[in-house]
Amino acid sequence: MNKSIIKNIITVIGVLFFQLMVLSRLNISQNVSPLIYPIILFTVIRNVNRSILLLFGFGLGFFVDIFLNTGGAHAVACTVIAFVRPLFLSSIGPMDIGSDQIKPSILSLGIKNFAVYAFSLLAIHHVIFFILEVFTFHNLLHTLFRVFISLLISWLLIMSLQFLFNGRRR
Amino acid sequence: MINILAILKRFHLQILFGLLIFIGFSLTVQQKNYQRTKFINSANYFSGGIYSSINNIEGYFNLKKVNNELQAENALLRSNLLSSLKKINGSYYHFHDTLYRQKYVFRIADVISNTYSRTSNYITLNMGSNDGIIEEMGVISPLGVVGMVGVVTESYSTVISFLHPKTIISCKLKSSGVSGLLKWTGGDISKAQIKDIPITTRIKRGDSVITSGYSSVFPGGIYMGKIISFDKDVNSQTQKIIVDLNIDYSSLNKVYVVENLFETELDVLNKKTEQLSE
Repeated sequence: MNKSIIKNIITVIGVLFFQLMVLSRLNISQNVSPLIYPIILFTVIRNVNRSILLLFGFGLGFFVDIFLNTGGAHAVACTVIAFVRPLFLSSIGPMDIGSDQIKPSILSLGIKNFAVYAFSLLAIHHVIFFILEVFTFHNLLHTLFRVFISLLISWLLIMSLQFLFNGRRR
Repeated sequence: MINILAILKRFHLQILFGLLIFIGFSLTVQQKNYQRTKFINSANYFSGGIYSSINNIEGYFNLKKVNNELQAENALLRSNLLSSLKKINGSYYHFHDTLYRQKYVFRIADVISNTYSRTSNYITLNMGSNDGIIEEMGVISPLGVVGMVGVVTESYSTVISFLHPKTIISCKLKSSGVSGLLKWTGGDISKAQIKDIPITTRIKRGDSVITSGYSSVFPGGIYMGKIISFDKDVNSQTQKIIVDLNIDYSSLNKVYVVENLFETELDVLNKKTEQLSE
């Protein structure tokens, strides 16, 4: 039990470090700013208390906002995906008894299911975040273009992270 | 009362959700208000500290480039020294002349975090109010104007980059002396625009654009870049100039924070002028 808590904390710190100190500092291009940190929210265990998940989501987004000078855009986006996450998880279907304790991953949900699950939540997150970041509907097409490109890259990165850390045990 | 409690219990999740969204949204709105980003920003102790320790490591990789830049500037300054000037005839001004008083003070600061790929970009510096930084001071680099100090904490400060929709710099064309407002319009970080130049002004491609010094924030005569194209708009009788910026905002290392020693005096003057017109 203790071991898994420590492991979770290390994962969270590792992902945040990679996001804030590497990905966001690369400044790849105007159109590409991959955000992989929502994976922390995706992989919280299934039966977690929804209020706690909401607060955790908000805190996570707020933390990222402080580093990236984005006001509260990340916080709003993360709160929304923390709110809708259970709907997506239940739509994937009931699993075996005791599966409530399971963390969603490519192992527990299957590659296809996890890919769809991650993509849809990530899409919601990116749309909200990018619109709040520019804070205007002017030039909406360009914003959606940025969302699309960043979304693809974030999603590929998240899937490859999953393969990297969960693939071995398959 | 019991009903209210029951409602609260029934909908606590939705209420919490609404509350959090509201907080997040108002933080975003507050951030969008120019220079009102007091509440959260990367100039705080925590993220500022982490950024500066990361920067310590990254700094080693840029040493050679920074050295070259500083050396180039040293050479330029040295060439302006009296010792490297030939005396023509008659007298010349020496340094502690009563004719000149110091107007600008420059402080060297390290860039510990820099963004340039977003639509509103910010830079974090490793100096704060303890080092004499005040809000709305100008920030320049050896290659051009960087931005304006936005938020200051004790040891760190956030700079609103030139690559921000709200930043405008008063500039003039070197050959004709016509002034205008230089502004980044998004997209390419090596291009900026000057709009509303009168159509009668003759513009040459390749002409230099320098800061005008009309604002009290930046000294005049800082080279910003050269004109690469311009087009005339007959309807509004104005011309639009595209400027190729000299500075590369993707690699900022050492910058100077500019303090204008006459700023309070200028402020008083401006206030009195406003009173006159009332």
